[in-house]
Amino acid sequence: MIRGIVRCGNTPVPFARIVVVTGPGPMPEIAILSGPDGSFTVGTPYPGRYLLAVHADEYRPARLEVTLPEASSTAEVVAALETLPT
Amino acid sequence: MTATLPAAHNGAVTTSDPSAETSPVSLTIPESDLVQSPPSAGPAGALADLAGSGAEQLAGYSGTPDAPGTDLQELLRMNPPDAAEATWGPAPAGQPALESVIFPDDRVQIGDTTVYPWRVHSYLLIELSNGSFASGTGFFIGPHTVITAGHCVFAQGSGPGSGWVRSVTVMPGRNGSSLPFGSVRASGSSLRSVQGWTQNGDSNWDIGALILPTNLGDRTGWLGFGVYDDNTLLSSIANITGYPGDKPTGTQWYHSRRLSSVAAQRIFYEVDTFGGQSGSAVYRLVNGQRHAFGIHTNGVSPGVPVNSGVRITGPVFDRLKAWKA
Repeated sequence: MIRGIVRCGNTPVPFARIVVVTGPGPMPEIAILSGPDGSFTVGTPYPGRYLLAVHADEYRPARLEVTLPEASSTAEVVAALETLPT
Repeated sequence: MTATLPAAHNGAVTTSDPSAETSPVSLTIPESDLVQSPPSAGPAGALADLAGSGAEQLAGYSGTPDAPGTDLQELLRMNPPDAAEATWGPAPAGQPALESVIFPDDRVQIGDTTVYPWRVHSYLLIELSNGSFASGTGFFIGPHTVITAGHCVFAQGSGPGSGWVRSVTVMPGRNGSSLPFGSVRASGSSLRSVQGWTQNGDSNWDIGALILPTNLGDRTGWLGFGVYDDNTLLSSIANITGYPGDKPTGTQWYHSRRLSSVAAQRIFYEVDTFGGQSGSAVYRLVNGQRHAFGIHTNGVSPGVPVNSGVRITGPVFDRLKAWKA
């Protein structure tokens, strides 16, 4: 699985939308929402490369690439968002 | 608090009846052999099919609904440019470049979601079994029945958040922070799927339903649904509207294109989608009547460079009709 935190600086970003854009196999087109502390978990049914998109209102979107040697592996990631210019 | 993405499965395991209904509680199932269920526009305020093109007519929307259908094998040989790549640059080395928003990104936002058919489509706030949240899309097929993907009601896998979700809050026609029809929460026996999904994890049976405690559909109207042969589908425009996660929260976006390919239990299309649109109707518009023929479930994946969903076959139709009753 992929465990992560969405934050801007040191501030957690809740209700960010985390989506697997491409994975090593078919993935459901659901959007995971980060929790109040910015945390999220993505299930990973296959080994290989995952590309995550992270979107939150008023922030510039970010992408994260994660490679898992095995489906049961766990990766820890941080999505560091930047605020959009006003 | 964490949020968990349910894993997709393509399990080959079968049971004697993968269309058999499952729910957190035991249920009795009526049967039917009809092949088309009628839509209802509900109260006044329906969008007309002015052009008869098979696509919805929206200001500022050009789309590419008249592009010829593309054979899936041809698509497998292609490597179409990608809208995301234009935004973020090329994919990392070794990373598949294909994504579910297929160049050009000409999706259009629905400005007035209080009008039929847009009010039929609902933002789904999903509370997973571990208390974390996800979002998806669903659509009314009757006064109290919302159809969605199976993985929006039952998350496959063994990780945190797997199994039956705690609840799904349905927000018809959500438009940003506006909920023009309020919201209804479904949980427990209101959550339905089929054995093919909950027991086998078979993506051909990735369907689910929410049986609402109110007849909110009488205010929104609903889509019809039907079973169509390959030739009819391949000549149809696939219309999809829903709540993609790459757009501002709770905003509804529409796109349409001709189908790319069909299989016995799946349909394939280049209609642009994004995470959060699982459970969207894939529907046709003919003579002003809107009938779903599929349920969107997956974006692109290695070997399948187009988006896809569950095809409404006879057994799926029977299940939907039973859920509508």
